[in-house]
Amino acid sequence: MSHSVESELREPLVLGEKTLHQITEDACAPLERKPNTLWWAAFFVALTCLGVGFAATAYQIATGIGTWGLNKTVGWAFDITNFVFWVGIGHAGTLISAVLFLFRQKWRTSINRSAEAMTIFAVICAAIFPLIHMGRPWLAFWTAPYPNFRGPLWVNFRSPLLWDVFAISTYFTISAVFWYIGLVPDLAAARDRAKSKIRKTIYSILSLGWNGSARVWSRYETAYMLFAGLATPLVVSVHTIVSMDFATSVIPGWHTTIFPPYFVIGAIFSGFAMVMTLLIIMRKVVNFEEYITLNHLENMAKVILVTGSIVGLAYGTEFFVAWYSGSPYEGFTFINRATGPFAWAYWIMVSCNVITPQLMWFKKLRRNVVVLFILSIFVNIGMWFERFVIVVTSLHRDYLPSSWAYYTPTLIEALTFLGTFGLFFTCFLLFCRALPMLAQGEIKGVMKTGKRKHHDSGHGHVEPRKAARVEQEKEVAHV
Amino acid sequence: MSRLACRLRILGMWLFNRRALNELRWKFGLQPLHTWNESPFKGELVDKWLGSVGGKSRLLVGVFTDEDHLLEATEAVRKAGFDIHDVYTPYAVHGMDDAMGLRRSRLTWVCFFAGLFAGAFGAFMQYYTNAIDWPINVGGKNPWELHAYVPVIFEMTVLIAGLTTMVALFARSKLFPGKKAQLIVPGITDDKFAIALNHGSANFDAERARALFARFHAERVLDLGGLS
Repeated sequence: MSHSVESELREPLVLGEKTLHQITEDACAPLERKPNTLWWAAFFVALTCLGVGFAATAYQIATGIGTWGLNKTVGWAFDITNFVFWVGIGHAGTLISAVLFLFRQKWRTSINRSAEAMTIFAVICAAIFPLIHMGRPWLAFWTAPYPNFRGPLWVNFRSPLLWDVFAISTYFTISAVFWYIGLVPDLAAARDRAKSKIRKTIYSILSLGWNGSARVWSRYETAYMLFAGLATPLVVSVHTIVSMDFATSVIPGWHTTIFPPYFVIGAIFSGFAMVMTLLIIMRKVVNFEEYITLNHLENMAKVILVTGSIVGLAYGTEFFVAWYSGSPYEGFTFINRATGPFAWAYWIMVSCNVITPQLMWFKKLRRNVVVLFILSIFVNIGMWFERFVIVVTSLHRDYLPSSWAYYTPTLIEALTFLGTFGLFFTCFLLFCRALPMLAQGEIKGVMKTGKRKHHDSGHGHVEPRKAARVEQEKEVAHV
Repeated sequence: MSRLACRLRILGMWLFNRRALNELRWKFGLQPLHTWNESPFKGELVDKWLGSVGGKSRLLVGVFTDEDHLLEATEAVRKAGFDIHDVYTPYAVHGMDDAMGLRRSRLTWVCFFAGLFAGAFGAFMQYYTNAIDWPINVGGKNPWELHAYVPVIFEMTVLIAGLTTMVALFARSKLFPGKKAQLIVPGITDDKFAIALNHGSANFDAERARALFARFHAERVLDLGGLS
């Protein structure tokens, strides 16, 4: 029998020498206590934003999408920007739950549940935009290929916009299933602790009669692995297809083969920034600092550094190719991006996405929660502007100078975007209250507490790890 | 009761079970003998009934608090020839499949064939709709253009393979909403580990099993009747 023996030098994944029972207690604590004032305040703000967004959406559906600031030249702007932004946010969740699982990154266990929740809510937010854009969202089901009385007139499978329909709905479904399968054992733990009858009933139904059987665990692990294997290429395909919405067109600035990898990396970059923003708040609010440690944040900061640098490289490559291709239109588009009327947006993008993440080379900054929080907000802003720049600057000065135009979003568009933030945070706050936020089944599996101490018999190697732990606890206390 | 006798009894119960009889009676307009809820055959409790009839408890359960002890004990009881009914753990214990001697799950095959089918289905769907039933001329391009159909084929593969795997997992593990969880000991979803041995097997020796459990530091050993 082989056991995984962790190096004594390695800092522990979870601080505070937890027992198995303590992990259950800590994971279920947010469900079992009454929410504090901070939670209610956040929930109120989120719900208000959601309400405003709902009103704005109802208004534009009733009136028509003429309420947007689009014109003849800029026919795609805010809506598609927000769509790509939210889909991108979702990618970090799948990356953490699936890709890091395949790479056996044990630190993912503390953060994967909340990151996956984030994915699902972000995809819901994203899906709202194309729905509104249809103008008649009640006919959205026409995008499904079903035998109909209109011919039957089928959907056009050669259109990347239709690929999007398939990609986004598959992504949502598979993410939700993956998330739910991961939740089942934890819901069972919550069920077995539940005191009130209603709670017990709800968790019983959701946990499907889970009883911890090893035969079931064996199948469960296989299925989990299969889902990770399916979700990994899926997440790459989704943003690839989103990028093809642009790349298969012939608009200079969009018609680029670099788009699929560029978009996928950008999505991971922005997604990790959003995970970072959320987790820094969450670990503080629900006292998960021993589970989501500085090591977790540092690891995420490293991912942000790598992806941010690749995004920077992509920006450079785009410029190089625009010049090297010798196409005057391509060249003009890029010069116009950096120096034209939307230069402000371009330089916000570059400073947020390329320059600030470079600070993550320094370990001191990677372990400073305040710096990380500010940086993550910067990246969120920068990545939103990236999509805005790609969409709007490629359109606003086309082949005919007489039809050149500027684009300003209307209040309705801005409020709709605000509304999706409301939806996102409302869902996330409810999730924090209703479902186990820590994947305790997985955390217990990577802890040493259920296992006998392998180094009890006087090796004398305990010191370095103890020292590291003391240092880390000090840092936690300091923060 | 010997093992064979048990088997025969179960077979008899299935052949002459009350539920089927009641359904027949219902068909011919007769009153059912009793309601289903009172029936001893309800759910998976055939075992329970059998246990009580035989006057014997069915499972010997060793409760552990440590993963390593559990693994060693599982391996030991299996090597000693005991019939392991199941092992219960709060999390997926690494190495348990080998310790219990479980074969590899066949869910991978389910997933593979579902994916294969789904990919073929996705290709056929696009071919039929866009090239046969109503070919649309888009810029004079070939209506059957495989490159353009790859994304949807891929998405269909992932979608259907994933959903099938989920259904297969839950169906094979008999997990469904509304199922009542039967915990072998309280705390099994928290911090307790348990090995359940079948009394029924031919070479079952309770004393020996208890000794083995004790050797691997079992917290306690229980004699349970009729937990399916």
